[in-house]
Amino acid sequence: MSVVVLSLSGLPAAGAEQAAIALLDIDSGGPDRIERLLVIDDTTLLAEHLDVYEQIDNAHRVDKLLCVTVGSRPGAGRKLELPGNLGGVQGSPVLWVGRPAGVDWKMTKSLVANRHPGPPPATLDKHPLIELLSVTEMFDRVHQACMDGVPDRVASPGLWLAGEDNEAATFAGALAVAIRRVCDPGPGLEGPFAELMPERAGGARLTETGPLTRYLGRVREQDREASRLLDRLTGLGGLLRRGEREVRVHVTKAGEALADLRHLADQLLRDADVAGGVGDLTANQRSLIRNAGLDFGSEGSPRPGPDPAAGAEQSRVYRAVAGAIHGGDPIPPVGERLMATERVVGRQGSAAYRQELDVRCPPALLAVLTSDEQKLPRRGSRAEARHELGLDSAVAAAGGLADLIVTVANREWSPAAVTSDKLVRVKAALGGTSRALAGFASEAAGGQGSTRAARRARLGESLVPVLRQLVMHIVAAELASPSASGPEALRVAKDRTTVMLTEWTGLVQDQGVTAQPSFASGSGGDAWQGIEDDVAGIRDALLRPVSDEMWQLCAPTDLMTLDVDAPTASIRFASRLTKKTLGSIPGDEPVWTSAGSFAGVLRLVPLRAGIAVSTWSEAEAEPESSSTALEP
Amino acid sequence: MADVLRFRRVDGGDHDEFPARMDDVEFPVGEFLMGRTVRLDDGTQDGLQLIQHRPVSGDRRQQGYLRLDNEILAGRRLHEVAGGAGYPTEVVRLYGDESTSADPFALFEPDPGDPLRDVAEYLLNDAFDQFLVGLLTGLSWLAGAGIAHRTLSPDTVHWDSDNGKVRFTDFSRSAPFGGARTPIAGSWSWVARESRPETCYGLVGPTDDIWAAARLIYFVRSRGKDLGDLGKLAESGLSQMFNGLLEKVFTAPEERPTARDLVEYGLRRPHILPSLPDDRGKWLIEGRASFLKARERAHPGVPVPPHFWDDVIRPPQPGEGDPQGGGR
Repeated sequence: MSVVVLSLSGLPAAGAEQAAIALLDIDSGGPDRIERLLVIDDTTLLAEHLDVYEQIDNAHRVDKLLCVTVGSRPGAGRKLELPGNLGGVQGSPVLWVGRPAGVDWKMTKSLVANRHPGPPPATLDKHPLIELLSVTEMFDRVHQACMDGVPDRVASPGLWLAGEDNEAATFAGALAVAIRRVCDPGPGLEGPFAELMPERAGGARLTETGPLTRYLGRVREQDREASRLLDRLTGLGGLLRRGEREVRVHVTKAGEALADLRHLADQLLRDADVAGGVGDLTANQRSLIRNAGLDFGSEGSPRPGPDPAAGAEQSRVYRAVAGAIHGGDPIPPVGERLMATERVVGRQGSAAYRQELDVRCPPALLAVLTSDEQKLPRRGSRAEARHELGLDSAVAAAGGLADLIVTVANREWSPAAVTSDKLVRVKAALGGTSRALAGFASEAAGGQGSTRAARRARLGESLVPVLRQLVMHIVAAELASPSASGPEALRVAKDRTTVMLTEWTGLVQDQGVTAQPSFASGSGGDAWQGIEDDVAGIRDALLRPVSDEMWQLCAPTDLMTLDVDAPTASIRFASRLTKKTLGSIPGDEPVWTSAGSFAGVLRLVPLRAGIAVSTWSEAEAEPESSSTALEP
Repeated sequence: MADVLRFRRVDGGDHDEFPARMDDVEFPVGEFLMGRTVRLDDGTQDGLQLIQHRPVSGDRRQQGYLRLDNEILAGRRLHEVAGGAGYPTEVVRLYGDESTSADPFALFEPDPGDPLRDVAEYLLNDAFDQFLVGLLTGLSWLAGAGIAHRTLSPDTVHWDSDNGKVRFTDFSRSAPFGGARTPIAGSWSWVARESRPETCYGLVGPTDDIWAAARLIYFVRSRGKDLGDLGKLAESGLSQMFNGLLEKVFTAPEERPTARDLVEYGLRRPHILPSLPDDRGKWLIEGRASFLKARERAHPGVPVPPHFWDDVIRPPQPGEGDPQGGGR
């Protein structure tokens, strides 16, 4: 729970009572329990507000109360008269701010003080002391210190501050820096992802025993037989005509096998066509392809497992995008590469490739191979004879047809190939993520005015790896559970990103800037290291001796009421942001604050005995009824 | 804020009063028009959510009246043409209007789609065909109603991905066929030459919208790219898809194919087009006379727009349309 502030400053008795009732009355909607209550009051109004303090006391719903009373003691009084439940041996601690503008004072018996530079805070709630006490960690430590180590539990606070940035604002600003890195338009198009090209992703191959391989093998086998005969004939003085009939048999058979191969290829391209490439193959078409002797292996298809996201991470698209994003590419060029890939992998239907059949295996070649009329030259080399018979062309055509079928299989039929729709969905997921991130960065830009740019930049750099993990988390989620449409993928990614950013910022608020969100793994978020120069001023402030000159929040005339001989409690504080960089600090452990924008030391100078008097009525404030002594 | 809205529903009769809650937040919904969300009390907890279009305040209010008139005219005409078939789903639906008071408005049903500007690059392959059919069907409805939208662009044409529907929005610059074209300011990517301020000429006709529509088709096909040169139509496969007819869109308006031509002779598909009632001229004359009467009551002395009656009294003749004799 945070610190609840009840400001009674300037309120007449009735108004103060109303404010207290609003806070404490359960029937009026007040909380069941207040863990930390910081009451701000005017010293001159404490007596008038006695009923309020009594009410607080009787409500029994406040665990820890700390009062800051502001202003000089009333009238020409020498005592600081407090309600009965404040100060003393049993009351709640009180910090007496005699003069909010304070003085610069070295803690000695000398009553010499200097003017504190800078204008006084315009309002009490903007006073550094109040801001500091509003931080839960500081409230608890100050409360405890007063209870344990400050006589009469009443002290005059003194501050020594080193400028420091607000953690939440610094984180938001740093995240905006990281977002700009991740969403930068980038250097331009690098071209499609080679690993997603159909040739590499499709995994199509001819099976060893299928018809396609058989026809291809038969063409090659007949070619070998014919070549063997030709070798023998050319060895017999090059008289080719002598064995022409036997050679012709093999050439004809090669031609027939090539015709079969071409016919089967044509049948496949025609019958396994999906019009325009839009839609899936039917079961019959898949059978046709399988029975023709094509196999697609298992590469590229994630095995189904209990965790769909883990399966998605095995996908080629995920790996390609992750490689680019983690390699430092911003989102926009990665999206452009996906679109460039999409233009290449876009399906058009296998029938569109039928015209290639004539190019790779012209009908005229088949006619030559199977024609009885073609005669061998009377004499010639083996190479010349092969060329004349069309054997070279037949082998090349068979290879060309097989290549065509494998190419089409990869592009049009492969279940492992990356589809256009999948690429568009991932691009949409990246687009939605980018839009949500940009929205966050634009909001954060408004609230980072008071934080230091260098610190934001350094922290931002360290957040980039975590941000990239967030991006890939969104991509994995889309791949694991594909959206029904591209715009839906865009919307869903945007929503998911917003949720994850909210989770992250919430976590940072609770645990500090190095907190690892659930989507982050490894040491990405741990990379934040400050630079020594950055924290030198903070270290100096933390190590400042407690009696050195500080900003004492009292009037010069109040100095005589402070007990410089009594032990002075001091509390050092700094933002959690700087904890790692500061490392070990000699002395008591500082309070590492989760909010606020200060670092330094708060000293609690006790009042001389008898200055503070706790009483429920003015009558009890007489010297003889109190445990105090007169001011010297 | 609870209030009462008095208006005529598009599907029925006279003015009526409806309890309604109006949002304070206003947003631009077209040229010189502002919109805000209203909820009519229809007995449900949330009420019936509608978007109210009103003319802007200040010195542009007069233009706002004209834009609002355009929206109302287009909406009512589309409703009439659709008749029993229901309002065309490709067009944002006019729910009702109040055109006679000093604070006129139109009420539209909310459009769940997103501007193509935002989502065109993310349309999946099967959605492209739905888009194509929707766009051309929408244009056919407009042609049937005798209305040209005149500002089709990725901002005014929305895509409803949940229902796979195209939806034309913002009819503030729409005009009935036959009226003289008024100049449209805007990007040359989306305003055809005959409507640009420097080269505006001729009469509004059934091929006015097809120019921007063809560019939209390329915009979606290329995932958000403007059509730079006509060679891209072949590269993108659109030329082949439309059997070469799409290129003819980028000629003078008199020579362009209509949406119906693109469906029938380009895509070579059958289509369903709204049929125009035979008594169109009579209906238009009566309607416009009533409109002018109401307008005169609300804005006394506002002149009748030039060529207001041209299309109903003297329909455009073939080949007519370029008084200056200029083409593209």
